[in-house]
Amino acid sequence: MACKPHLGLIACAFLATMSFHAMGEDRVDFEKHIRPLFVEHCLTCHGPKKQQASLRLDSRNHALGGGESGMVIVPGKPEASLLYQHLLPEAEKRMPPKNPLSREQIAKIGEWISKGAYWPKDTVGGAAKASELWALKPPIAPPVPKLATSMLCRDPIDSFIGEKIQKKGLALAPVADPRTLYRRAAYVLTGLPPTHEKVEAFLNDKRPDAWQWALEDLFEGTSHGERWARHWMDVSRYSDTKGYVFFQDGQYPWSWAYRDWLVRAFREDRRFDGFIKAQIAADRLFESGRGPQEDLPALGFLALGGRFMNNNHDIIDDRIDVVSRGLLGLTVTCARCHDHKFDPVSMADYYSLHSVFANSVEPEVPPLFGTPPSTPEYEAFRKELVNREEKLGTLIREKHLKNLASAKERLGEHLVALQTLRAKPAQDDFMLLTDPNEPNPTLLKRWRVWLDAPAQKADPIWGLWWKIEGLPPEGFGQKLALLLGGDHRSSNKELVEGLKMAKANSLADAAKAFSGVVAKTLDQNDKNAPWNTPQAAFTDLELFPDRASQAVLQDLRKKVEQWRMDGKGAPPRAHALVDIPDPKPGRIYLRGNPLRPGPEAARIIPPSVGRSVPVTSGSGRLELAETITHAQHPLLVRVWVNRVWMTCFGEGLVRTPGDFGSRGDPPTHPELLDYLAHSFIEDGWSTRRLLRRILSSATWSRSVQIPTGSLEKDPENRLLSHQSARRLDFEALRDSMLLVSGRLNPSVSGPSSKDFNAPRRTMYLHIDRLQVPAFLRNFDFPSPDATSPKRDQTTTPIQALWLLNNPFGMACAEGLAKRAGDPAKSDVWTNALYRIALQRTPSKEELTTIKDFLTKQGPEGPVRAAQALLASNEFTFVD
Amino acid sequence: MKQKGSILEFVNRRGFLSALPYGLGATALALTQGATASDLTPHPSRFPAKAKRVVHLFMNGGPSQVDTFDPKPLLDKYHGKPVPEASLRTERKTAGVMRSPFKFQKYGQSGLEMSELFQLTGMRHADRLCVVRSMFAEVPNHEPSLMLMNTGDGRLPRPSFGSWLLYGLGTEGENLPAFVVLCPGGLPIVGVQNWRSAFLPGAFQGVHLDTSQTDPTRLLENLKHQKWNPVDRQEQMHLIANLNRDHLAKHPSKDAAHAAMQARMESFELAYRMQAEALGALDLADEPKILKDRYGDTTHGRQLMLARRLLERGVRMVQVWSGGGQPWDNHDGLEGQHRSLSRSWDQPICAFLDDLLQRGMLEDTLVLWGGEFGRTPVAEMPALSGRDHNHYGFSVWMAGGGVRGGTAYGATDDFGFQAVEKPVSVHDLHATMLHLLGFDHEKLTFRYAGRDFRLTDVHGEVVRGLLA
Repeated sequence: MACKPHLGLIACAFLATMSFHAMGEDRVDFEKHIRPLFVEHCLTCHGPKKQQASLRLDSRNHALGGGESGMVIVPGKPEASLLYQHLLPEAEKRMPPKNPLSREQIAKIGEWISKGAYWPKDTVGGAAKASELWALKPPIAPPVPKLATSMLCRDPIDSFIGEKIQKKGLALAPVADPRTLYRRAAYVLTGLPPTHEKVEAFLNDKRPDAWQWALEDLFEGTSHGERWARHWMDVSRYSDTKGYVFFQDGQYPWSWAYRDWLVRAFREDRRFDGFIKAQIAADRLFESGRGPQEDLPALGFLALGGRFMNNNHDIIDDRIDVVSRGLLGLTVTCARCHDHKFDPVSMADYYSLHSVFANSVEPEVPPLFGTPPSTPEYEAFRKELVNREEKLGTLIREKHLKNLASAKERLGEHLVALQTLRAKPAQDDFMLLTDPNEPNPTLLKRWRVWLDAPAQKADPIWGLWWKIEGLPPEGFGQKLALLLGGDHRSSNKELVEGLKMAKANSLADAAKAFSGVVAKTLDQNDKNAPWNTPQAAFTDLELFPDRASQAVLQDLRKKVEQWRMDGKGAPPRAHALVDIPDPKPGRIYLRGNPLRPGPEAARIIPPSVGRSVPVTSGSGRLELAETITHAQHPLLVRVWVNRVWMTCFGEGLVRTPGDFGSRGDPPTHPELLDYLAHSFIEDGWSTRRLLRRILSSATWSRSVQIPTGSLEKDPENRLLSHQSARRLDFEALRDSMLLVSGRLNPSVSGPSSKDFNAPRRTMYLHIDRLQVPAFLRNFDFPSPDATSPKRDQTTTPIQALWLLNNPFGMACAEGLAKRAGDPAKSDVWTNALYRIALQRTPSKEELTTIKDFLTKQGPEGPVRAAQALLASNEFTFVD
Repeated sequence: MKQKGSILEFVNRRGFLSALPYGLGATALALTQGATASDLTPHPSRFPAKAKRVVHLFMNGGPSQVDTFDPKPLLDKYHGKPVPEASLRTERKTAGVMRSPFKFQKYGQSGLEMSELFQLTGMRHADRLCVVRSMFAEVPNHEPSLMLMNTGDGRLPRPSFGSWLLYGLGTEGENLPAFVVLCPGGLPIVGVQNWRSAFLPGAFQGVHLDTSQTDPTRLLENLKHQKWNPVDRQEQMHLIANLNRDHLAKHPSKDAAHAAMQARMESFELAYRMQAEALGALDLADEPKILKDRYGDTTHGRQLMLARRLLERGVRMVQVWSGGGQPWDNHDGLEGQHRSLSRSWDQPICAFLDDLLQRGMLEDTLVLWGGEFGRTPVAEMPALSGRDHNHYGFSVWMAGGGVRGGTAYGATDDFGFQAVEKPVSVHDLHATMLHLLGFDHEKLTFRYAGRDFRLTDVHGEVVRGLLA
């Protein structure tokens, strides 16, 4: 939107001739004269659908707020209003481009602006206000409803559910039989079926609180921690790798430490607020003595996302997303390029968060999260590590010094290369490679910025070069002579004379002459000068931008990392973040483009993620963690109890668990959601207590037998008059197969298995986000590219083929058949088979069916029968 | 709440409630519990669709436009000299102009000019090709360009074209995966990201077959049991069916869970049949010898024959790759390598188009040929025998499926460096392809993370000049 410098004058003159005439006539009325012009001529490109130049003219706030060139309407001053100037016939880039406004129409707008640009307050459209969105209202503890007619209530949950059921006139399903309930609870809490013995023991437990004892038993051991850690890994988009990162090693060597931290947190029922805080700011808590070192792996929540070819803005966006959508059910990343269209999240909010994460980096050496043992083995490890690190450090240091030396020694070449950057539009060329021996592109970029700064333009030496490189190539010599012949009191005399002598005819010649005079005098002490750029200003790729030297660097780096990762005696480390020492406020990037920085973003935790809190120390992660775990925060706990509910019932009270905004689903039972959120906090943020309550409620205990009328009145069972049978997710299915076949390796923790047939729980398989194994995706394993609120559930023959033909399934079928004993004794074998696989005894008909099958099938019969059970719906669905 | 996408409505539309467990109307994909509020059923077309399926012949590595479909006589004149006023930045160091070692001539009634590298295709099908000579991409690197061409975004994880297509068209009535990727000998750069479904359901991702395998049983994972013959397993299938029928009887009410159980029962029936049918589709043994000779008994010949068999059986999208890695990436020795690569493709493509034509399938099959970008008209240093990456201008062609045949659309500059006349972005290409398939690229959206995503993001315009 560049304007010719003289345009303002024309505008004034034009206005003078036109608008006085209009002023005395009819009064300009915004709605009558101005808005219709905008609607008809401007809104196609500057309206709700498109916002070219980031400008919208459909509402007061947008229009007066301006676009990417700043304010476009300056009330009272048409000559200073870009909007007005662009309408004029003389404008370089006249608007609207196709059908310009008539002189009268332009005059009207000019007059309207000169009179103060009155625009009535916005009445419609735009994002919902925070006060309007249910999820952002502070939760208040609602009274437990009194039911009109009495019904089975074991927990206040049942009263909230019952109220709506009675209102709708729905019948209720009966409570399911104990065997069904026990299996259901085992899957909810552990992701595994119970053993037949446990079921029988429960059925024979005559204590009045047998159910509570049964639940305690399921909470015991590691299975519960593993199952719920896996649920959380969906939220935290867990993967063992970075995605595509060019030459780098894509592995996260200690991702598993985060996974193991999660397992332990759920096993120990960590307070949920502390659980969240550790995942956002464990480093800060540890530093200040408010948290243990053992929590450092929790930062994997932020650090273990994809690396998007190392584009830092995408990495930050992903971290904002995992916090906002994963924890708060807010789609904040919509505001990366424009204010959120529906929810109260502004670009300013987004970039305040952006700066929180821009000021948080991975430490070059990931921290330990325990004390390494003082053994000779560890000592030997440490020595070798130092040795390898020194080699790497030397390479980097030398390359850097060589670069700077070359900048001075080959100044002429650099200057020519610099000039070619001048004409180029800024571009995000982070991926461009260069050849060995070329001037370093990053250094050139810094040089360019330095040279274009006002201070340099006035410099006796560089100011002159700045002018010289601006000369056109045609007739260069002549123009240079002309330039040098001019007034040069402010330029360095020796330089002017030297250049005059050289009689350069091209930029290259001029650069040669220039560097001949200047090279020796380059100031060693000027810290800001490009030839003194500190090493820290370069990333690896920037310092080694050609393939050959990258390879050398990566080789040495790999030797260090490899040793640190799995050298003999290497202690595990945490993928942590730390705050950078001198955090800086960020900027708003117009249209999300980092090359177009706009106004500064406030150093605050923005109001849209809770309360507006100033960032006073470090990156702001600590403030962020504290804000969102505040007991009054409207979202964190609502979102979490909703997820817990979803895991118990298949659907949440809010069926869009990652979107509590105005485009998400409203809660089916808002009061219940608030009640649960409230009591969750009162109960000490204990997930286990919440689970215990839900699993003891009458609502959860209902049978899957659908009561009459329910399908018609409430086809999706939103009111929960009954439970719904649910299919196991892939982890539960595969783990169950391992368990019942006696193959499950109970050893937990440690690095992930790259062997997908390994008999470990599925959560321990190695997840490479670049190549997620097809069979996992075929079974709706969520893409680890971003936080996953909820799993898809698809049914395909590809899944069935896996069950029927994959060697993994076969091994399980064989194991199961063997565990059931001697198939020659058909009935005994079949009994055992059913007990192990389905935790029940077979019916008479089933005994006969299997017997007949075995008779017909011969030696392969038992394995095939066992496989049939593993493939059956009864195995895969939980009532 | 969006009622249109509700499970019950979906179930009804697909006929699950009326279908017997072993009834007809089988469905390859049943979404039994939507994880998102979005409607995952097939989307009714916005326009009359010209094409029903897509074949993408992916020349990965980047074929040279000035050696194939974009003749530039000026290259001869300037051979060895610098391009006047050129200031375009290339990935690596480049030198002066390199003339094309290949002869160009006009083919067909339309007089479409192309090089000898694809002379068989030219002689038989020039009038069916719609060459876009003014394509451009965003950066001169393979990884982002591959992702851009396949998913519409160079960096971020987005669903591939094929996944969007399945999302739009559905996968009804097939015994095969609906999006098949044929790539011999390993994976291309960035691997499965090229055909991933990202935030769309996993079932919409491409299924990769390693076509360097000639044994059909080894092409598709889990298609065959290690030792059991499908015939021997009929009893076992009956057993599973019986167990499931009894189980279903205990869940008589026809809610979503009931439908999910039924869908799963069908999926086993389908899987069982697939063992035979997919095997049949993948087995080229029954193709007549004369046809095999036409395609040629080469990897690409077999690939395209396989592609045709898959399309015949209802597969929506087949992507056929040149090979693992980046075969067309000829930084040096371009003449020899381009010659042998095109030789391996020309005859199969010619036969493939003929075959589709004869079967009446070409008119509703959209064929796309091209790489992730093109190559520079200048030679690459230091060998001076090849060309560097060039995203500023390159050529692709389409055939069949409603495109305007015998056309060369748009133009690069005199040297073939940069698209200057009617430039076509990758988003424009995608928008146009979706249009031919009956979709408005701005309306084929999927709600995810609070946003309505589309293949073309906020870009793309249908290029009318490519439409028949």
